[in-house]
Amino acid sequence: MAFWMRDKHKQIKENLSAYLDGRLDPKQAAEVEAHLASCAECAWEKQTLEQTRRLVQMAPRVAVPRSFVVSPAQVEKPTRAGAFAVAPLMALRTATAVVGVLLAFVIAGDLWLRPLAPAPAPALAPMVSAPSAPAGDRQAFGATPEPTLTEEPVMKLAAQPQTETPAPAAAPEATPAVPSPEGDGRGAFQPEATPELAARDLSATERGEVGAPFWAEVWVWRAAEGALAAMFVALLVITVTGWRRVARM
Amino acid sequence: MDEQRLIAQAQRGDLHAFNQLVLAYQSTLYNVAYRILGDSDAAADATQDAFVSAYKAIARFRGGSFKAWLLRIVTNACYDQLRVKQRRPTDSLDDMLVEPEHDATLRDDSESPEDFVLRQELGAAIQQGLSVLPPDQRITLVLSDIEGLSYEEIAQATQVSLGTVKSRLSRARSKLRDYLLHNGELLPAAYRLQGGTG
Repeated sequence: MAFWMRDKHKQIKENLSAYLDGRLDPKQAAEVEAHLASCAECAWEKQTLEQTRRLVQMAPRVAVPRSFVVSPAQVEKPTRAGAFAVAPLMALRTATAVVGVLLAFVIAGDLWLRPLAPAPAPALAPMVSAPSAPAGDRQAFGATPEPTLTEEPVMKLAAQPQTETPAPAAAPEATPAVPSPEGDGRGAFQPEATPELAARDLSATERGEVGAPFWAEVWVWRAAEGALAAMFVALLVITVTGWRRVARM
Repeated sequence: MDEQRLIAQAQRGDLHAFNQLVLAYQSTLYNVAYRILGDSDAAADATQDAFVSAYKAIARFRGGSFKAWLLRIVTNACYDQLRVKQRRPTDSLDDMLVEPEHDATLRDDSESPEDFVLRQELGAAIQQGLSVLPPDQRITLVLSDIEGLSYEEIAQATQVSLGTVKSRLSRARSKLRDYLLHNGELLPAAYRLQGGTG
């Protein structure tokens, strides 16, 4: 059989089903009929397809096993169940997004804000006692940027009662220096509470005032980033798992 | 039954009106689901899911063939059931081919008992043949040759083009014919296809 005839034969075969349904235009139908008259294979194809279609049409209908009338509970319950299932997921999704944005802010802050923070003050090592030191030494210490030399602010504070009027903040701290009227012996400790103790307390106060802000600390950023990243991953996993479960409902 | 009036009432939330539509179409939807799924329980689930979904979505029905719209919903529900079956490898193909007892074949009053038995055998053989077709072709064949839908209605129900309906139907009939030819013993003698030139 010539190639073009083979092609035509194949095309007619593919159109036989639509021909049986009367879905070909008159020209195509005439082509099919002309071909069928001369092609035994297509004639058999048409005959068996017609028989198959008739058998399927004859297949008996089955009785419904029950009524499928919809009850109010059926249309309300799934809605409520869906709401219960979806509402927390919406909240989870929002929380995931919020945590993700916070994480992005914290990382951005870590990258751009922290380097701008003032360097930590050397006074952050607080346990050094406060011996008085010559002013020249203080100058020398103060001029040294080495952070391990932590005595400088403390010494500076210790020198304050000697050189100038105590700061108002030190006044309440110095109050216990007044001997107690009962004379119960606590007064024996009073000399220690005078300039040096006041200086220590002042140094603590001062530490809060002149120390580096908390956001300059690397560990603060790392802790925040770690906590937020952990929360973000956990929320993401829970949200994705939850949506898949709801999608299967 | 004034279908348009019932649809309009159902769209306003009248469940009673919707249930009159359910009663009118439940046999059609169940039979389609049964022929697609080959399992009475799965077909019942798909049918019920389809009606519940249809009630929830009826406000979005914008006219056209209500039957085709319902059939689209039930075929989607059948696809869901088929996906569930695919996820459960324990369900064998043989399970799908069993004709459950309670799926009583509807009997025509004018039909003799012998004819009734023959038609039941025919129904079982057709069901086996349908189960070997790919779902898309099976659904198209069921909608066309069992439910008698037009190509346009099938296109609406399955959301494909007329050309796709035509080619799916052609392939489905050819495959089913081949299956019935090679498994002729499944058919009652009176219904057997004659193998020949093919």
